[in-house]
Amino acid sequence: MSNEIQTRNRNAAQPQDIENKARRLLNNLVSSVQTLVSDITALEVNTMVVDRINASKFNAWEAYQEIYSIHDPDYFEARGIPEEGSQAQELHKRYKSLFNQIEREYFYLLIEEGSEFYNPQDERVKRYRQRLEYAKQHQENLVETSQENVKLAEPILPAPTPVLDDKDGNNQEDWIDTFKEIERLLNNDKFIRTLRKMHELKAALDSSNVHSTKIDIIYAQTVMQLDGDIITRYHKELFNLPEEAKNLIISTHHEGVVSGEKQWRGTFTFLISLVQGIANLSR
Amino acid sequence: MNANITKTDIQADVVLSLFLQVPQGDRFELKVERSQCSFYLNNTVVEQIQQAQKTGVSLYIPPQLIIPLCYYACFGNNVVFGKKKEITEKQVGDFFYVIFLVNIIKSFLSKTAWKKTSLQSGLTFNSYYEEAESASDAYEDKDIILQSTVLIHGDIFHKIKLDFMQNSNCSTIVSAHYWLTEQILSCFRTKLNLLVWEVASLFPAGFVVYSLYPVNVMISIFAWIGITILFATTRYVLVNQLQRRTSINSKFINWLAWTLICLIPIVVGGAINSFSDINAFLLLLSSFIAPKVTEYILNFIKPRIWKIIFTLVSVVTNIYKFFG
Repeated sequence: MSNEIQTRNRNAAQPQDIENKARRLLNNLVSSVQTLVSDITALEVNTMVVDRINASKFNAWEAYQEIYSIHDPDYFEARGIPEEGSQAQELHKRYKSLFNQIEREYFYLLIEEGSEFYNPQDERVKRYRQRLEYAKQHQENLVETSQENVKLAEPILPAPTPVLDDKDGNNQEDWIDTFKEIERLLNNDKFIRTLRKMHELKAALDSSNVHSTKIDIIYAQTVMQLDGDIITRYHKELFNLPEEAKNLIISTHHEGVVSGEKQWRGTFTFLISLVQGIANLSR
Repeated sequence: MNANITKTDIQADVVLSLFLQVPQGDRFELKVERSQCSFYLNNTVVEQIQQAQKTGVSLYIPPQLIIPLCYYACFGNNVVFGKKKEITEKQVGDFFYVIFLVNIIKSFLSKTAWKKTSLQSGLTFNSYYEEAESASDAYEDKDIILQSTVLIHGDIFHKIKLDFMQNSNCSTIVSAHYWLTEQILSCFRTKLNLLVWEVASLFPAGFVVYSLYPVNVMISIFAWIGITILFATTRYVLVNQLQRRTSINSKFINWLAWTLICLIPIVVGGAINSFSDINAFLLLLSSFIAPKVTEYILNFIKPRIWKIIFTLVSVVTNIYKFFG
């Protein structure tokens, strides 16, 4: 008898359950568009000339893994990226800045009130702050291999591969938690946005030949601020190119800005109308 | 580690391959997969596109392709591994909506899928180029000469291949690429008016049946349906042909085709009763404004239909859960 009631109860609850799920799905969509709208401050159009264009698609997990590995001291050696010379140093710096930017994004998530990662008491927040402080103090004579620096430089980002811990060898449970954290992180719109951009920039750094120090140059960049400022920057290399190539790049960039603005506006209004459509539907 | 992810994502990556018609020109191939869109261009197509740009015509994308295009381009998991599956234009009509519905039901049933399906953070457009015309399989990765990545939060990367800059045709191809990108993105924004013309075909068909005075009710109903289908198909063929052979803007083509369709009943009606009947005239007039009326009615009905489908889906899933 009681069994029967239970089944009936469960049945009654189910349509609600599905409706909730559907609602949550729609909410997800709407909120991702919302964060998008509230965070847009500028439109940036970059024109690059590259040796090779890759058709590979963006994969959040892979991108995270790749950019995380930059922090590894052996990264440049393992990839065969040159280490000698000022050009190589410049290249290293650029690579490291990619890692730093996603780490900073994560730090902001940790200290931003209202974010799902909000946890200002976290030990990692403290460490990140200390690291900044340390870098400031030792600006000129920072010894990267000094013990304190190494300790502070340990990334605050969750590691995408199991790390051998000093304390307990390989702690499986920790690793599962970390994995879940990354999964959560890769579902965060803000984080994925930064990751995507860094991924795009990394592709430009990788170029076709990792063994060369040549960086695919962003020859021209136009930033359109929402408040109406438009700034266009050209790389000085551009003016060393033959006249024809220079004109071609400039005209391509110009056309790219005009069409890029249209494209972006197009995508944007499309998204907004999509959300509107959903809102109308659930009315 | 990757094995772990593969297990949760059974769905394979799908590539949608279709052909689009350059106004007054040839057809070129387009492939759409998760957040990526590739154009396969050659010299002739680029020239034709340049012509279209000059005359200001827009690229016609059949409305029945817009939903799959949007779906494959904009949604998907960020983490997908697995084999690629290619879908061609023909299959879209037959299978797409079934797959689409199954996917929706599946995502309601599965606990994890709904969390993972998300909007793509950006769209990528690749242009492949070869001088001579060839099949899309013949193009290789090295033939990508241009790439535009539009990240929706406001970053755009245009990449040009270095070797390609020596090409004398370079700037034309660049602007063709930009034009195509704009056209595809603008197609996402077009308001979908599916079935409007098909439903509107009921009016002139009704007029023809009315002027034929059939004796039997059954016969007239069948005739009505038959002629409606005939008109709808004629309109479709007409629009496609006009698109291919003329440089009229696609906005007007629909109405032009519609006027031509409406002329058929006038001829038929005129031949049979030489316009003596005032009712016939009213019906004729109504068939001219029929598309607007149908659009209005459909816009009114559609949300309700969606609600019914939604309820049905939840009932079905309930039954499934109950027995499963």
